[in-house]
Amino acid sequence: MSESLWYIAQHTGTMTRRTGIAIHAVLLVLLAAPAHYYVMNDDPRDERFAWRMFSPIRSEKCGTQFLLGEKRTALKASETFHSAWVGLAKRGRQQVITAMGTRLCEKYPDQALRIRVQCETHPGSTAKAQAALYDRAREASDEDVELVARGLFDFCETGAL
Amino acid sequence: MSAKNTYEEFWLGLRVSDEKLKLFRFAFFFVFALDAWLQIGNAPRYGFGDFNVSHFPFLDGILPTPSRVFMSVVFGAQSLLGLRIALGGARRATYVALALLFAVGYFISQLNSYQHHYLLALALALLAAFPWPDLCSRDAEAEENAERFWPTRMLLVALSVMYLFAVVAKLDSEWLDGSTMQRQITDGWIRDLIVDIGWGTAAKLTIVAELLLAGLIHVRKLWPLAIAIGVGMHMTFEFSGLRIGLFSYFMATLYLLLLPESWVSAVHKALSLPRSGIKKLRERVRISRSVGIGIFATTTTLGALLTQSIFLDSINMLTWCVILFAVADAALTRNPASAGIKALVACIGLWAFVHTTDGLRTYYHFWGHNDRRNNDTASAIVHYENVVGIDPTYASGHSRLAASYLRAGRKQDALRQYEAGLLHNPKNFKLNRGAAQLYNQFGQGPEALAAAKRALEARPRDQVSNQIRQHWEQSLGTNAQN
Repeated sequence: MSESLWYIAQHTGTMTRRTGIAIHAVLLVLLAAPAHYYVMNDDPRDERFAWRMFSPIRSEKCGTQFLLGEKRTALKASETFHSAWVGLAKRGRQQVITAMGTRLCEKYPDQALRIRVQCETHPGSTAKAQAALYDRAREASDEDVELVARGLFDFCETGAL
Repeated sequence: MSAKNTYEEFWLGLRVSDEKLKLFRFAFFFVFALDAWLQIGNAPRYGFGDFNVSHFPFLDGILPTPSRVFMSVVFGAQSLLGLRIALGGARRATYVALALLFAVGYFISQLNSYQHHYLLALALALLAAFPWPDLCSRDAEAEENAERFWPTRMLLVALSVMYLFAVVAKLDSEWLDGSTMQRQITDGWIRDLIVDIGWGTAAKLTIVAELLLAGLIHVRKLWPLAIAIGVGMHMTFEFSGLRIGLFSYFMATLYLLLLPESWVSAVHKALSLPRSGIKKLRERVRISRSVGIGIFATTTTLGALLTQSIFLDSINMLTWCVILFAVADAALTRNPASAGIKALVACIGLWAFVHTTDGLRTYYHFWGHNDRRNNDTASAIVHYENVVGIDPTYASGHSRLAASYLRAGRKQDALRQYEAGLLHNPKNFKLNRGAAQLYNQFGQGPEALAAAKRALEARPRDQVSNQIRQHWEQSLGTNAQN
C-alpha cells in the first residue's frame, strides 16, 4: 500500500460482533478502573488505577501506630515489615494497614491490638516534621489532621480499622 | 456517513504504516527492557518477613507469595523478552507471554504501585493484539481487514482516559493554586522556570495541556501539535526531579505512533542502505538446516555464558530463561539461526544494562538493608561488600559496609571502608565523620582532625565532629581557624 493511501485509507467493512465485544470490554475496563475511585472506593488515599499521579492526596502524610496489649505499647512496624510497606502505611493505604494489622495479630496472639491512623489533610499547613505528626494532632485544628482510625477497638477482634 | 459508520470508522480506521510500527516497537520495547532491568533493584523488597498484599485480594490465593529470587527472575525475564521483541520478528505468543509475565510481576504485590506500570500492563495487553507487520503480512486476508487496527486506536483511547482522569484529579483548590506542584517540584531549573511564570499558572497550564492532549491524539492532522505538547510536557516532568522512573520516556515512545508518515518515510529512506545490505546478505547466504541449528547452538550458548557473567544470585534461573526463550523462539519462527542470533543480541543488551545502570547495586544495597533490619550482620556484610564491589565509587555503600563492620567489631576493616569511600567522595559527610571517629579511637590525631574538619564543612553543627575537632586542636595545639 503506498504512503498516501495511509492518509486516505477508508474502512470499508463493518465491525464484526467479536471485535465489537472486544472493543467495548476493553473500554469498560479502561473507564471502570479509575471511575471506581470516585464512585465506590472508601479509601481516598488508595489512588491505584485512578490516574492521580500528582494529586494533592499523594503528598499527604499519615502516621500509623500499632498499639499492643492493655498498656497500648507502640510497636515499631519496621521490625516486622519491610520499610517499603511501612512507607505505604505512611501514605494511609487502608488495605495495607489492615493486612499489617492481621499479621501482627498472628504474631502476638491473645493480645489486643489497636491501630491508630492520623493523616494530614492539608500537607504543609503546619510547618513541623512528619515525626511530630502526633504532637501536631494535638496542636493543629481538626481541619489539618484527619483521624482515619481512632484505635478504640481491638483490631484482632473486629478485623477492621 | 451514518453515526454508526463514523463510530466504526473511529475504531477501525486508524491505519499506521509498517515502518512506523517497527520504529515504535523498537523504541517502546527497548525502554521497557531497560525499565524491567531497573526493577531488579527492587526485588529484595519482596518476600521480607513473608508478608505481601497483592493488588486484588483474590490473587493472594492464586499467585505465590513473591520472593526476592522469584521477582528478580520475573524482572530479568521481562527485560530479555522486551529486548527480543524490540529486535523484531517475534511471534505473537512472545508478546502474550510478556504481557502475562508483566501482569504477574505488577499485580502480585502493592509494593509496585507505580501508575506507569499499570499503564504498561494495559499497553502490553493491547500490544499483544497489535497489527505488527511481521505477524499480519502472512495472512493475505488480514491485509484487507481493517479490524486488526482497533488495538492501535484503543491504545490512544487509553491515553485519553489517562489524561482526562489526570485532569479530574487536579480539579482541587490545592492543585489549582499551585501549592501541590510547589511541594512536588523542589529542585532544579524547571522549578526556577515555574517560579518565573507562577505556580498557579503552571498548574493550570498542565490541566489545559492534558485536556488538549486527550483530544488531539485522535486528530491525525493535529498530531504534530500533539507531539509538541505531549512530549514537551512529559519531558518537563522528567527534568523536574519527580520520582517517576522512566514514565516520561515511555510516554515519548508512545507519541511515536503519532509521527506523520512523511517523517517516518524520511527516516526509513535514510536507513535504506544498511537495510538493503542486510537484505542482500540474507538472499546470498543460504543457510541449511544443520548450519542453522549449529548457529543456534553457538549463539545461544554464547548468550547463556554472557548471562552467567552477571553477578546476581538468581542468575542460573535467568540463564535457563535465556535458553528456554531461544528454543521457544526457534520453534515458533522455524528459523533457528535467527532465533539464536537474536537471543545473543538480547543477552548483549542485558549485559549492557548491567554495566550502565545501577540495578544490581540497588539490588544488593536493598538486600543488605534487609539483613541489617533482621540484625543479620554477617549477611549484611556480604551484600554490602557486593555493593562496593559492583560500584567502588558509591559513598552510601562504603558507609553502610563500614557500619556493618563496626557492628561486627571489625574496626580496622571499617576504617579501610571509610578511607576507600573517601577516595571517590572526599567531601561526603558520613564517610568523613565515621573516619574521624575511628581515627580518634585509634589515636591518629592529625587524620582525625582533618576528617572532622571535612565533615564540619558539610554539616557545621555536627556535635560528634565538633568534639573530635576541639579535642585534637587542643592536643595538637592548632588553631581552629587554620
